[in-house]
Amino acid sequence: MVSTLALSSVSKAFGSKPVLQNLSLEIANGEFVAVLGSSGSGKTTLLRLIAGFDDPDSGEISISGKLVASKNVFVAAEARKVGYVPQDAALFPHLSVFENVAFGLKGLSKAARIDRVRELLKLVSMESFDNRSATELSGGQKHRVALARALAPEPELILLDEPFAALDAELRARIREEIKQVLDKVSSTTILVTHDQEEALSIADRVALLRDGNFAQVGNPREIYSAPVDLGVATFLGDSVIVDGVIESGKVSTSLGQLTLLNSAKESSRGKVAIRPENFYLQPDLNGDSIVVGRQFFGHDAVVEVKTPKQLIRARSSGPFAPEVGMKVTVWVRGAVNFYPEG
Amino acid sequence: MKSTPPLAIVFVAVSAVLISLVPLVYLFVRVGSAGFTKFAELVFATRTLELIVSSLLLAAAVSVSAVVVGTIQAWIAVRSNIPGRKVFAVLAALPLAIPSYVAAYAWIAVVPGFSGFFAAWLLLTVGTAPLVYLAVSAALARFDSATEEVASSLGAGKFAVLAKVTWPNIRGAAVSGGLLSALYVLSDFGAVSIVRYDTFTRAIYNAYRASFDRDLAATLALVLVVVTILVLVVESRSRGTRAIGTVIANRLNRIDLRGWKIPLVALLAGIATVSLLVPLASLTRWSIAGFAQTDWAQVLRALYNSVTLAVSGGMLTALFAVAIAIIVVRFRPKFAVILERSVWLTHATPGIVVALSLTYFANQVAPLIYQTSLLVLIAYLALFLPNALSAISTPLRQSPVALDEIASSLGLTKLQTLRKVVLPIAGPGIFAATTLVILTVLKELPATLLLRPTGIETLATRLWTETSVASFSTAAPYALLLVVLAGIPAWLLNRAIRKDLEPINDLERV
Repeated sequence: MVSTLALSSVSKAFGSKPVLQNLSLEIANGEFVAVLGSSGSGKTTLLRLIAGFDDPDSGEISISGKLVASKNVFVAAEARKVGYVPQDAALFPHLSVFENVAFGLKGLSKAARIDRVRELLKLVSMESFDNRSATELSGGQKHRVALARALAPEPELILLDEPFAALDAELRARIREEIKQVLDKVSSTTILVTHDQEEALSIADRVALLRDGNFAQVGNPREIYSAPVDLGVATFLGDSVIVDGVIESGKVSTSLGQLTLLNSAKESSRGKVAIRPENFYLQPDLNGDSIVVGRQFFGHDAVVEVKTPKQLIRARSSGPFAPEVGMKVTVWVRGAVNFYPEG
Repeated sequence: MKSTPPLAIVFVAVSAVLISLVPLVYLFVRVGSAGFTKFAELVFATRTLELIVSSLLLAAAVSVSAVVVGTIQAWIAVRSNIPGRKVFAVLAALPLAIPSYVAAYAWIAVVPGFSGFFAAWLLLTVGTAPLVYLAVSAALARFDSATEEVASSLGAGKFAVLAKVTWPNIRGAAVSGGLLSALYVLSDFGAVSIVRYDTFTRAIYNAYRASFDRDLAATLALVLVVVTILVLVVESRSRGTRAIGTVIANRLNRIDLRGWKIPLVALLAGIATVSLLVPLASLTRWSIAGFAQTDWAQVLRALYNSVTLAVSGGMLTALFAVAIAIIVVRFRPKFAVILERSVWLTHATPGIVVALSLTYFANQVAPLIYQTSLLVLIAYLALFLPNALSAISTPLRQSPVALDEIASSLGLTKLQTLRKVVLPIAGPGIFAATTLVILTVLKELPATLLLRPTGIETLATRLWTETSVASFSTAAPYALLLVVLAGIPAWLLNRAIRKDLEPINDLERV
């Protein structure tokens, strides 16, 4: 089966500054991929290359098997059938909600046009807003209309460019869920670009982690979170405690004890181990060698700072049962950990 | 401070508005006294109809071409990746520093026979295109170009994007700028007179000078006022309907012009040649040519008179404007709307009309002030009060109302609050606005020309006199001083404070 999107060795530089280097990625029909990266990682540039707002310096981009960008080919944005939902929606301010959604519809009779717009507005639960001016909508409503507008011409692919960044936290989570449901309903192939790990991990089928113009890791959210390829990815995806370790008889020996390995490593190699805060278990122990020195309470959970003989660690603990400041504890590590050899 | 304004301030503000309305009101009185039959006869005379056609033709032609030129300049400066676009952005606004009658003088001094419709059209197009340029570039800067990208991702080609997305969002600004350009043309006196193209303003002046038929001058002036009011009404409507998007993040992507770069750079360079290079080269040339014979004593006297009149007129106008602005901005009583509307109405009286009406007024009603500087100052007040009011309202708006409330909770009266809180905060802004009004007054021609006391010559009137007898080298130092002392400083100051102002402030009176 032909991939809906195929990037092959795509590179792009601005002046002498390389932004994307040799990127390759294939996205299957109906898949939802999140491109995760910090600002300046090149993720917006990637989106613009796919949409056709910019051309790559080298490499090829194909959409549903059709070459749209290469050394000799450049298909303009208007001919690519790629839907685009930019940050803060960018509705046409001079048009009504209905006219915004109808903008990309071509070659339909008036009645068919009206039907199609109605259907899309219904899909995003905005059917009663068709006569409103685009400027009268709230943030979340704007995003729903922007999505309906992008879906209207039945694109091969939908691009979401940090679409939720301007919304406040609570609304962001809700709109994200709504939009995900709409996209699932129409079985859209989607690329979401974001800098928010939680957003990428919670919404996507696959996450492509972009770092310094390269995909550092591509995989499903679970594997990318639990098995980061290197320390950088591990720390980018969430808080981690980094501990020195050495491999001894198939286990990794650290100041926090003998830990089980998730990946394989050569015997007696030295390196570092990344441990997620939620993997610690703090056992209250009057004879423990560690002491709780700080606690941030978040309600459902708490982050506890513990001074072990060797270092300070931050552990996540269930809110109501988190140990108090001053308590002596023994620190245990639950589950397997990832080992990253030095050099 | 939503309460009744102090009486003293109300008194000053109402007097200012009443004085500024004198020319307009007296014009009606004057025309009325001639009788309706006479009025109708004059309005429907072939000559009047010819003037209506020629004035409107020029105004329409200039505003259309100014919209085209100004919009292209704005689009290139804000949205393209053309080399040197920052330079072109300055060059596009800079013609505002050259009063149109100075540009007309400069052109006629290098191109003999530069006259008629084409000459007037060319001068006023490049002179007023900056009004459109400023309005449209501000609209383009507010515009979120992500909407253009969305449009192309929805299948719209480059020209469809321009027509269906970009243009609808700047149309309001472009139309408003074009109408400002038309208003400028209707009220322009100096440039059309120098290139000898008959419009209302020139005909009014000639009818007045010929002096056998004062009724004709007054009637023409009244017709001009009516036409101007119509344009003003359309202009304020067009601004009201402008679609403004609430843009959270506005990204401006520059468009790669590729093969269009060279022709567009050539076009911009051509416009700058007509609007700036030729006038400045001509000014320089004639200044050098006439340097040896320049009567410096005469130049200094004119400079002294200009500065004296401008400083007193500008400060008087600004003082009155502060009083009105305090009421309109800080107190907003019910009658504030009447004040605003009345001041707005004085926009409809071009300089030549104000001057004409005031000569009648002084002759008939107040002979004591006829031929005095006071009459000139009243004309300046009537002409520049709207500009001064909007320039001064902005800084007055910036002092937070919460501070007034704190001041009154600490026991200060309204007047004390104004003096100790509002005015100190707005002070620098008011000072800048006052300076701008003074510089604008310095360039004024028609009212000064008609109303100045005998023997008092200013830079503008000397330039006018010398140009009308074609002694271009004698006129040169006056032209140069007007550009250097008034035009350029006003332009720089306007640029510095324009961020906060409505485009209407760029409407200059000539």
